[in-house]
Amino acid sequence: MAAPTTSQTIRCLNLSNRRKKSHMDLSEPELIEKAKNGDSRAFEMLIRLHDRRLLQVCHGIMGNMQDAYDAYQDGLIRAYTHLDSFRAESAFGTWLTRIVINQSLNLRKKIRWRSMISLDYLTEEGMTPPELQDSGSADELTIRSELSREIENSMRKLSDRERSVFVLKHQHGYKLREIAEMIGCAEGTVKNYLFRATQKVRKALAGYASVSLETSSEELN
Amino acid sequence: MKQNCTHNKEDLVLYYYNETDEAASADVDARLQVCQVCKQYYASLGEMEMVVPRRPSLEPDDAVMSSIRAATASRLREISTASRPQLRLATGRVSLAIFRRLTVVASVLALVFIGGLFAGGSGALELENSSDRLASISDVQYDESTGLINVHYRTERQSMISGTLGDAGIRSMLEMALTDESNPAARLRATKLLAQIDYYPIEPSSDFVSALEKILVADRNVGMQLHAVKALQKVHGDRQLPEYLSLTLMEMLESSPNSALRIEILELLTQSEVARQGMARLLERATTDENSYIRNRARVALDEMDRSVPLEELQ
Repeated sequence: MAAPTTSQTIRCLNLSNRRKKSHMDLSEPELIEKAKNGDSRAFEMLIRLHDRRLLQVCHGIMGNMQDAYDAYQDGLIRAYTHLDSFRAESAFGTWLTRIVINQSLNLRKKIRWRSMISLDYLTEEGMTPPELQDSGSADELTIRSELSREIENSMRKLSDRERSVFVLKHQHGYKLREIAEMIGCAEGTVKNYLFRATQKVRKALAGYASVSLETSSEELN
Repeated sequence: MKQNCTHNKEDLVLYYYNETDEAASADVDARLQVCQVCKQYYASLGEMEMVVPRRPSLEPDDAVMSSIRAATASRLREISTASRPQLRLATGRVSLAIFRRLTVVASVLALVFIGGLFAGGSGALELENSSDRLASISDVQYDESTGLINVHYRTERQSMISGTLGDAGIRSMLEMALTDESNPAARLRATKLLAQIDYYPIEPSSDFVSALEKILVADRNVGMQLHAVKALQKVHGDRQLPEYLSLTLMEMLESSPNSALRIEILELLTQSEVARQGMARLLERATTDENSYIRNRARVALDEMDRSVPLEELQ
């Protein structure tokens, strides 16, 4: 068999480059269609637009990286295997967020039960992978870790739904209408959850806020 | 001197998060000019922001995201090669669209059947027989690795379809299995499967959910009831239960002699965010249950109820 000529090789390379680029050039509906037909690469491209935000949402709900990662990945797998049920009635990102939130809430429930059943259950502290821990001086780290423990303690006072709404609104700035769609309840209910959550966090951190203010002004001086 | 303020604080929270319309914003603006209590309250929201910043608590860098993406991609590919949520018949792959078309044909046949009943003709019996022939479910399985449900059924020969709860075909097959009085084995397998799988958001009013409720209330087999209540836990998640269901569950919690069933019923009742009237009293009674697990769970649920302070007290 004759060896391919240079022009044939270049044409082949061009074709393969074009093939490699093709997923990037596709629109979201086209990627969805491809993913529905079993193209996992198309699904990877789809979630790339949302994955960082989804991981952050999971982290906000779960309160630690280990569980956030589990919920995030299980949620994405679930979304992939149930992609046929996506009917484009909401934005793809909203649908995806809804599934990931549900996964996080289910996982929280499981963890709660596990902690009730087993006394050996370890708390979340110290479970953050080293690559995600903040860098800084020892004092800074102590202050930061104390503060984040304080924040996490105040967040634990919230119910799962209150916590989800608070994270989505306070930390991610979603509109209440969007949050309602994501967690599958009425906008009025979301308002109620947000109010309750804000009240609880505000009360829990009341003393801490003034300390934090003083620290900030000292830092400025 | 302590100033009394009867203003609605929820408005202030919504205003703080830019969720008030123009008129409401103007009202809050005016109120903040004159009411010291509201002014302090609003300032405290700002202080909260100093401690809990208005940005995600996690900032994964690109390297972390790359490794997470790689891990996710490898899991997706594993699933992709194993199977995809497409409908398969034993004789080969067919698209979901074809099955949906078949479902439409089946619906038309059902309408003809109902029409036949009203017409009082003997054709009804023939159709009934042919519908029996059309699908007698022999097994229902859940493949954990792919998240797919496999329904094996008999027509003139053994066949199988696969899919998810999002597929109308799978849902009607499951409903058929759940309501088939003459086939307790299929009913048990379908109930067990629904108790086993994790649900993505699903409408609790769907037909197979009603079938599960019927099993819970009317089935004589405690094992079947147990799976039905576990399945309902998954369907409802932490959404509020419909009133008729929570009342039935409360009654069953007090009357069922089976402690395993009582445990699962209590779990279903307490997982709902908003506790119903009478729930506290029921839980108090449950703290004296003969089963120590139920006593403990009821105490925890009562504690959780205490923590969810009524809205009026938060104002």
